[in-house]
Amino acid sequence: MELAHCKLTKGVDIHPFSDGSGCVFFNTNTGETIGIELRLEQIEEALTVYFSQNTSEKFHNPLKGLIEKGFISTENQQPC
Amino acid sequence: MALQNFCLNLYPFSFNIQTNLKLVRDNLYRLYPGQVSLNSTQVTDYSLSLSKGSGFRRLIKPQARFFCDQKEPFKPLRQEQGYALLEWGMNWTIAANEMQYVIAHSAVLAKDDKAILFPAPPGSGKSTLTAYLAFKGWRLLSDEMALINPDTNIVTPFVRPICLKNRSIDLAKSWFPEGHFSSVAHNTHKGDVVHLSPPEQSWKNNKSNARIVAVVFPNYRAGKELEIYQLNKTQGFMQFAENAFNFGVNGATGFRTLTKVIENAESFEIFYSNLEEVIEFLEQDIIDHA
Repeated sequence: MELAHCKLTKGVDIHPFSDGSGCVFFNTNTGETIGIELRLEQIEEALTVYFSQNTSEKFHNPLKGLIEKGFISTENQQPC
Repeated sequence: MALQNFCLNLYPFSFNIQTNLKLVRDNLYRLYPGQVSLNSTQVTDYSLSLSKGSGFRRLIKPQARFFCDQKEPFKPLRQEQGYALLEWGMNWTIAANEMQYVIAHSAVLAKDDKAILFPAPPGSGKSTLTAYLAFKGWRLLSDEMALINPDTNIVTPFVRPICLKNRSIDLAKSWFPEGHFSSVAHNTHKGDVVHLSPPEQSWKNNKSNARIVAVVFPNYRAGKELEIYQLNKTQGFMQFAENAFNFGVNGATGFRTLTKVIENAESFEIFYSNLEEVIEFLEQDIIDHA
């Protein structure tokens, strides 16, 4: 599964849990995992803010990790 | 003692064990009564060796050395710790080589085919809880590692003795005086260590897979009344992933497997001191509803 609008880095899997508690991201290249207690649409919304404002200052901390650790591609990224 | 060859059939793996240590031989016979045979010609999955160290040291502080297929993954230990070294060496052998399973550091116990995983770091009381459940009618699948079949929520048993440490040794001996205990390995890096053979029922059913219905993270706290926290699936996954040995190595398969387990199970963190309260919770709130 992919985020509807934002681009996951190649080799990154995402699983949104059925209880709506959040999502986990897994980077098959590094074996690293990040769990975020936000639903998929909330993550997309937050990423939209990030890519449209091009700033991480007001950014939700766990999501910041997604970018910094290379789970979300920042190359040629269009706003979600 | 002269070098002897033992064959240990522990579904789903088999081991050839070569040893010249009487302590190891005696403990193998005591703890694996129906699984061990002498001088078998069977081809096994792994060749292990637990032998006396050589050189001058054997005269001063005799040592035991562990080898797996000619490799020596650990430094030698004192000879009286030789049996514990063999058990730890078997754990290492499986964790380092068996990539066809997704392996988590976890005890696994079941009622019929409904399994509960107990992933926990050392010191959490996992093995004491495991021993108690195993001798109170639960079926032990493993004290140390959960072998999860990839892309399923099914766990394969790997029945072996339960590793008890320090104060839990005397407790277990008082609870289960009829149990088959190994000799004590004193002053290891984990303290005093004893292995306890599981009851007959667990050995008899050691080829029956089980379906994972819950993941329970145990935390023993002296004097504490039972506290139960239900974890949401994201929290359950993240705690469980920390205990998965080869999750990263198995890549996408490991990830899918762990998400499948968590999606199909309830996750709890418990704090406890009274094991009877824990059993009541596991049986009434988890097993009866699964």
